[in-house]
Amino acid sequence: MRFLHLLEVFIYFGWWLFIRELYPDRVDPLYSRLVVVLPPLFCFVLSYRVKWIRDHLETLFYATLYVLVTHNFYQNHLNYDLPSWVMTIYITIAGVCACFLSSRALFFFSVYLVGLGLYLAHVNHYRYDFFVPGLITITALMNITLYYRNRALKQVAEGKIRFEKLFNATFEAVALHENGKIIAVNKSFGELFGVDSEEVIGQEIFSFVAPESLDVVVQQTDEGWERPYEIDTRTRTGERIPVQVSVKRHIYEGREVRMVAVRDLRDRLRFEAERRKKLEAQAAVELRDQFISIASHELRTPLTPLKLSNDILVRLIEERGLDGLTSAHVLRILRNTGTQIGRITKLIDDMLDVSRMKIGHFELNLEDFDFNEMVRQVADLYAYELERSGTSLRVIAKKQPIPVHLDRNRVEQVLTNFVKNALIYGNGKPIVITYRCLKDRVFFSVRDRGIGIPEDKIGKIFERFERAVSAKNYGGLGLGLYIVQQIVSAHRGEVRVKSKLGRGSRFSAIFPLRAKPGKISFRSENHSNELELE
Amino acid sequence: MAAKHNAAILIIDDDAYIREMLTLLFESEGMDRIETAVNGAEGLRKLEAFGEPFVVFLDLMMPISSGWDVLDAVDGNPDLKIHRIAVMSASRPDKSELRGYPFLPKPLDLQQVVRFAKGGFKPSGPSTNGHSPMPD
Repeated sequence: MRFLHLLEVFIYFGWWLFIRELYPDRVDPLYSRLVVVLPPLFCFVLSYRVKWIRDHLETLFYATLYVLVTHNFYQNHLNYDLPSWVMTIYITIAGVCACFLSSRALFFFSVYLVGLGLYLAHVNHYRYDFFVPGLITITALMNITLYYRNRALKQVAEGKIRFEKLFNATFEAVALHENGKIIAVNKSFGELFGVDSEEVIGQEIFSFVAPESLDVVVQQTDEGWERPYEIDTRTRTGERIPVQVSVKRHIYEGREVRMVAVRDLRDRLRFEAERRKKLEAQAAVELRDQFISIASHELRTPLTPLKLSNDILVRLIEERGLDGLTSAHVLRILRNTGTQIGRITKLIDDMLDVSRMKIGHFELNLEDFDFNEMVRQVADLYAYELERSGTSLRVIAKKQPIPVHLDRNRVEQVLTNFVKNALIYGNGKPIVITYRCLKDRVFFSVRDRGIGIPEDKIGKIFERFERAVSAKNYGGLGLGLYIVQQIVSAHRGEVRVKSKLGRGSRFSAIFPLRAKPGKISFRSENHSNELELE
Repeated sequence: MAAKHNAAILIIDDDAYIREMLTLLFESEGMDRIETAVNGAEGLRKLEAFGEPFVVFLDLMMPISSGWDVLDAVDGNPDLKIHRIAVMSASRPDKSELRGYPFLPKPLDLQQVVRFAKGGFKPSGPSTNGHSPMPD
């Protein structure tokens, strides 16, 4: 842009020097010429320095152009002769060409030229040759305009053919609409929605959108975003097709319309679903293998002391005969045997419970009993084991009975699971059982001061086969808390856990005082940790 | 043979019943110095604290510190006084994982246990470690 200023100076001043050489006798003041070419020259030089000039180069160019042209006409008016007149014409044409930068500038410039010509003709006693440059300008203008218009029309025609070809060649279904009325659709669109691409013209584009997706479309249209979004569409036969839609503004035959590209997502969704299913199946198989490995290890764990006590008894009797054994000896061995059988039974019960819960054959056997007495009994049951591991167990509760109507065995199981976990993960630190009656509910909790649960695992410990620690260090099937969760929710109760890593955990359960009988519906599990135990 | 009969025994296992039954077994075999530990850390403490070498029965899967931790510590500390170590587990570790230590699979074979305690046990794996000086 800044070089246009320089060009302006060269044309105006150069032409004048040329004329001066041709007609040395001409009276044309050098200073007045110099003065009028100074502004564009300054503009050129200062544009490198002053930001304001850089920002307004175009406006300044028009301003200086007007000054030059006015000066030229004025000189022509003062000393009317042929070279001056020719120069006026050339300057005018150059000005017109320069004004082609914008159609508005061109319009104002030509009006100005005609006006100037008419004015000078008037003050110069009706010499209408002053008007000639204006006429030439208009002729040039028309020629140039026609040239560009023809070129543009040709381009439009070619572009239209190209557009039509592309329009129909693309795999995507594309429709053009103006305010919702369809103007054109391509072949893919017709095929996707099962319509004739001619018939559909003039119909509402929204009639292809499934009713429940209309909100989304309206919202997207209002926001005017041009990014793709996914909706359901409806064909004329009522079939639903999930699609991705992207909308663009488009100029079609001179009108601003919207171009809607519709991509069929059925294949992609089907592919994704298959992939997901496959991954889920893989995860389930992996989980099952893992479980089988853990379960066989867990079942073998009590077998070791069981076999040991059995073998020891046999060995002792073989070596010493029955008379060589004290009854205390035998009792110690047989008690151990009993305990191990109990451990194995418990493991198998757990597995059966989970399998029963999974297929929904799990019913509560509600009975009336004293909650207080039940807790004490469980605590007594563990006295031996607690003593053995050197852990103390404290029960904090009021002495008075709490009559409840629950499944006694199941509630006992919950408490047992809590106590057992506290024993395993409690690091031998004291365990506290708290329980109390709250209006129509009974609340109990088991607190330990053991290893605690990492924060990111707390949410998962109630899932099947989940454990917060590795199976390498701690035994167990990973079913205990899952069973607890199921039992508690079957009673329409609530289970909570609070834990801090390295500081211990508190597991609590809340049961209604009187549970309602009837079939229990379990929460459906939609995660991939699915495994049939049978 | 008499010295071997009287070797002190250390049972490292988190299962109280296994500890109790093994103790009972060794007692009935006439051994009187029997120590037990519920995890690897306690076992190591006892190994360091006692003046005489032990015959160690080591379980692998234990809370707090496992049997592997004990083996690592033993390998890294040749000053520990140990006659020999037998690894016991219900899982079946690879020979390379065992690093040459003799392995007693659970459920335990009474004969093997007694023989190992008395020093006449032939290990199932190749013995390359200094702490298990039994013939191959």
